[in-house]
This record gives sequence, structure tokens and C-alpha cells, in this order.
Amino acid sequence: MADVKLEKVVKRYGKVETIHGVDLDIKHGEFVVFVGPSGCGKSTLLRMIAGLEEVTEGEVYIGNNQVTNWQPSKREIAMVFQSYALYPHMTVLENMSFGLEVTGQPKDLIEQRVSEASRILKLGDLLDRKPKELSGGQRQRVAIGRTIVRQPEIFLFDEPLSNLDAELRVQMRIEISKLHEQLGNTMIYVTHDQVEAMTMADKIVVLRDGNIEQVGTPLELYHQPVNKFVAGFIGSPKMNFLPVTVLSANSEQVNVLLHDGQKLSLSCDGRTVNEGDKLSLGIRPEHFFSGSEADISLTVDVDVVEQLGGTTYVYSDIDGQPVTIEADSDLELVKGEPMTFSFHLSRCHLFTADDRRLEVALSTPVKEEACA
Amino acid sequence: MFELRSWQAKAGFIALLLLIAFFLFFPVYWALSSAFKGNGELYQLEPTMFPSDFYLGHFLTAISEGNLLLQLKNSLLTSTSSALLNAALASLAGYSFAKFEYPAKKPLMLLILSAQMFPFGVLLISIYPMLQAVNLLDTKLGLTISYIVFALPVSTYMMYSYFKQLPNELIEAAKVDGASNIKIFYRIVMPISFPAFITVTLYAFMWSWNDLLYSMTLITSEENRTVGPGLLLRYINENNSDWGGAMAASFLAAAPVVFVFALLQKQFIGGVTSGAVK
Repeated sequence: MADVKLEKVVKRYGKVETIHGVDLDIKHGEFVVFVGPSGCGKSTLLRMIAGLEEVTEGEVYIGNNQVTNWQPSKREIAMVFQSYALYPHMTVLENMSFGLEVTGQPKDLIEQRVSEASRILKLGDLLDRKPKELSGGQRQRVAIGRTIVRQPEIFLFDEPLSNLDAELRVQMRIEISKLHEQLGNTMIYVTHDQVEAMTMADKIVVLRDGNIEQVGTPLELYHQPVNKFVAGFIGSPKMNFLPVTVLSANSEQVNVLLHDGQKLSLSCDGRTVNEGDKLSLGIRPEHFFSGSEADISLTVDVDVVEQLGGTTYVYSDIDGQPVTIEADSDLELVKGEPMTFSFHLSRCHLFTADDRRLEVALSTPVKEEACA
Repeated sequence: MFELRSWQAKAGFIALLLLIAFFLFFPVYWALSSAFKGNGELYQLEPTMFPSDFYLGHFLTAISEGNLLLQLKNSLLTSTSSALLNAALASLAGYSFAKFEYPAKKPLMLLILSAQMFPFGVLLISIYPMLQAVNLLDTKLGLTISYIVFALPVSTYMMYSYFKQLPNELIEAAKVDGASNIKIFYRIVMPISFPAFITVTLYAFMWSWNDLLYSMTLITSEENRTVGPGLLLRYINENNSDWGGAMAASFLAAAPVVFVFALLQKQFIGGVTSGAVK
């Protein structure tokens, strides 16, 4: 069983602390994705699990062993690096068998494992080639093959798809997910691309500035983000935030005022907010409707229109806040012209000034008349 | 890089290059042509540009009389062994400086590089009694060790620069694969760093081969003499009149360096420029 457990893990470089006491449990067989913006500490955390980065404080467990100070080779892990890190002077075959060879495995076992891995990854015809003779996708598959042959308990991936073009990235994403299904091992995957995180993960760990912001399934993070950062990071294009002012609040309901004087009543726990507080109303671009059939309607001037064929993104601003609206692809939109769109209150989130999300109740929200 | 646009500028630049090339190569040409001239043609009042007939006598004399072949053998032995030993030590030291963290790493590197700041003659003052103390004066081993002293600092720095730009991920991948530090060094790092290894080997080889000061001072017996002092003692003295022989012997002495350089120049250039472009 290859559960991974981090207990109060801290990383310091001199006086600079980059990971601030992280606790995390990963169950055997889970596909866990560490996601966050550049510099949030996701790669450092992965490297500490791998044993490539010293843990300043705290403990790392793999299975029943406390492995905090163990060498990488003793940890039953294999890792795919962002740059693939294939040995340039070796053929694909030599690259894949190197790990088994240096640990003194018998030749027939090496041959059997390499042949099995090359079958899974369709590398059979490339075994005699050197890395420079391979395409990006092929190199990526060799890097994965190198990890498979070692049959590790845990696979670690450090932004493995970031050097590939968009099409290949989608293809490799599917291949890695299939591989996880096939092998059933624990996989920990680092990416800054939230689409990768959403599509591949059983569990996503969102990091910011060396802290875990939220751990949950992709849909938990999408529907119930704990704060404005997670809400903004998960989902593409990112969630819109409109400034609102609290009119009144209690444990079941928060009444807020939109910039244009519309009064909204949201069913959520408002005990921590007071009248006059400035909050952010979060709505995802895909939860807008063209026209005014939903609960709340707004009219904006169209700034930019991006037509992607299947869908159209409209960029504008409301009270100084940039807004992205996902609209139907057949909608005729002209830059500078007004556009009316609407949204349901049940799709909205309320965030406090310190970015915390107020829990939204599931009861049907009520649309109220404008205050003006 | 600058670009020459007009044909006049291009012509002027080419003329300048030709002039520099003439100053560099004319002495070499003159020595070579003199080596192929008979004594009559060599000492006539009006010198000829080209040998009238290719006289090989000077070459045969240079080889048959004196100890040129023995000296060449000694030079080859001391230069090759010092070059290889130097490259091996520089690789280990450079790798350690580039890829490991330990206390006093920077001062230690500065200390090694500081040996380069002293004139070689000054270093000789301390090397001489040290070799004397361990009975290595007038031995090929003593000379080999002394050659390493002046090639090692620069070689270490060259290897350090090369290793510094090797991606850490390669080493980390090998670590995760289960390779020890020694295995990583000789199975991954050194094969990739072959051009840099060749570069420092050639650098040290040429230093040693062309040395005069150390070999003149540390070697006194004829049996251990290397080619530089051998040529000097035989041909450059007040009684010498065998300029043809001197030129022929010089060319025979230079041949191994030219040969080795020609053989490995691709790797040498690759090694010198390897850090320039990512």
C-alpha cells in the first residue's frame, strides 16, 4: 500500500520559508494533482516527496515508513520531469533499462519489463533511437516508460506536459489517465494548468504561497471553493467577481446591493458579515445567459469578442471589474454595442473582504426589485 | 556580430585578414621550406622562396643522429599522462564544485584558481624542493606531476563551467533511478561531457608538449629529456650551423600536437563553445 502522508512539512532556503507546515493525506491508488500559480511551492512539495529536496521541518511518510531522510532510490517512487530528463547519449532501450540495470536486476527481467512498457506506450519501433531523434510526444512517452519499468509504488509527474503543443497535451493527458486506470498506482501530478487538474485528478490540492488552500475532488473545488483564490483559479475562463455591498445579513440570508442598484438576496450564512461590508459576488462565465430570462439581468458595453466556433467569449467591465461572459456562438455581437445578459442567483458565490466564501444554501433564491 | 555591407568594406576586411594570416604563417612556411632545402640552397646569399628540390636529408639526420626519437617518446609519455590525469582530476573537482553543496566551496575554488595567478617560474621554486624531497627530480613521473600544477586550475574552471550548465534534472533522474553518485558521474555525466573532457585534455597536452622551463629545470639526464629542451640544447647554441636540421627536427616535434589537434578539433571547438548557447 502506497499511501503518502505529509505532516507539518516546512521548507526553508536560508531564512526564506517557501512551504509553511503542510499536512496532506494521499490514499493508495489516488491520482492527486498539485495545482497553483508559479512559485506556490507545488514542485518543491513534489520534490520533497521524491527525496530530491531536503525537508527542513516535518515528516514525510510513504506506506508505513517515515522516509523524510531517505534517498530517492529507496522510496519506491519514479518521477517524470518537465524536461523529460532523458539521458541523451543512451538509446530509448538503454534509457528505459538504466534504472533496473544500476540496481542490479537480472537481464531477462529487464528485457521483460522494457518490452511490456514499450508495448503499453507503443514504443516498440523506437527502442534503438536516441532522444534527439524523437518528437516531443515520443520523448514524453519514453520518460513515462522509464518510470513504468521500475514498477514503483508511486509515480510523480512534475509538469510533464508543459513542453508539448496543445494537441499533443490533450492526447498525452488521456494517455496518462488511461495508464493510471491500467496500473492503479498512486500518482502525484504537478501542473499550473487547471484544465489538466480538472480532467485528470481524483483529488486536487490547490496551493498558494506555500500553503494548501483547498483539497477536494475537481467538482467540489468547482462548486464549493473555500475562498476567492480557489474560485478564481479553478475554472476557465476564471470566475467573475462583481463588487456588492451588504444591506442586511443573518444566518440564513444575505441581502446585497449591486453597483446598478439591484438588490439581491442570497441564501447563505451571513453571521460573519455586517451591513455596509463590501463583498464580491462570484459568477462563472459559463453561468451567464444571453438575454434576460434568468434571475438577474445586467447590461454592459461589449469591449472584445472572441469567437471560438463552438462558443463565444465577451469581455467587458462592470463598475471597474473585468467581466468575461460565455455566450452562444451564433449570437451577433458588435464591439461597443450594449449587451444584456442574466444569471441565476443559485449559481452565485459570495466572498468576504478577506476572500472567504460564504456557504450558499440550496433553497431557491429570491429576486427582488431594484432599490432605486 | 557586425555586418559589412559594401564590397569595399568586405575587400578591406579580407585584406586585413590576409595580412594577419601572412604574419602568422610565413615563419611557419619559411621554416618548412628551409627544412626541405639542401645546405647549398639554404646558405646562398639570395634566399629562394620554394625549395628547388625536396631534400629529405635534414629529416633523416634529425632522426638518425641525436636522441630525437627518445625525446619524442618522453614528451609523448609525460604530456599524454599529465593531460589525462589533469582532465580526470579537473572533471572530479569541477563536478564537485558545480553540483554539490558543502561548506567553504567557494573559497576552495578560489584557492585552486589562485595557483594560476603566480608566474610558472615562481611555482617552480616551490615545486623543485618538493620533488627533490620525494626523489622525483629528473624523473618522468616528477615532470608529469609538475605539469598538472599549471594546467589544473584552468582545466577545473573549464569543467566547472561545463558541468554548471548540465541540467540538474538529468542527475536527479539518475538518482531516482537508483544510481549512486559515482555511477551518475561515469555513466551519465562524463559521457555527456566528452567534448569538455577532450578540450581540457588537449589544453593540458599542448601546455606540457610546448613546455621548456619545467623540463629544462627538472630533467637533467639525457634518457629522460623531452623534445623541447632536446631541440634547444642540440640546435640553439653558438656552434650550431645546422639550420636545416633544426627546422626539420622542429617540424617532427610539432607533428604529434598538430595530429592530435586535427583529430580532436571538432570536440575541442564543441567544448570551447558548449556553454555559449543553451
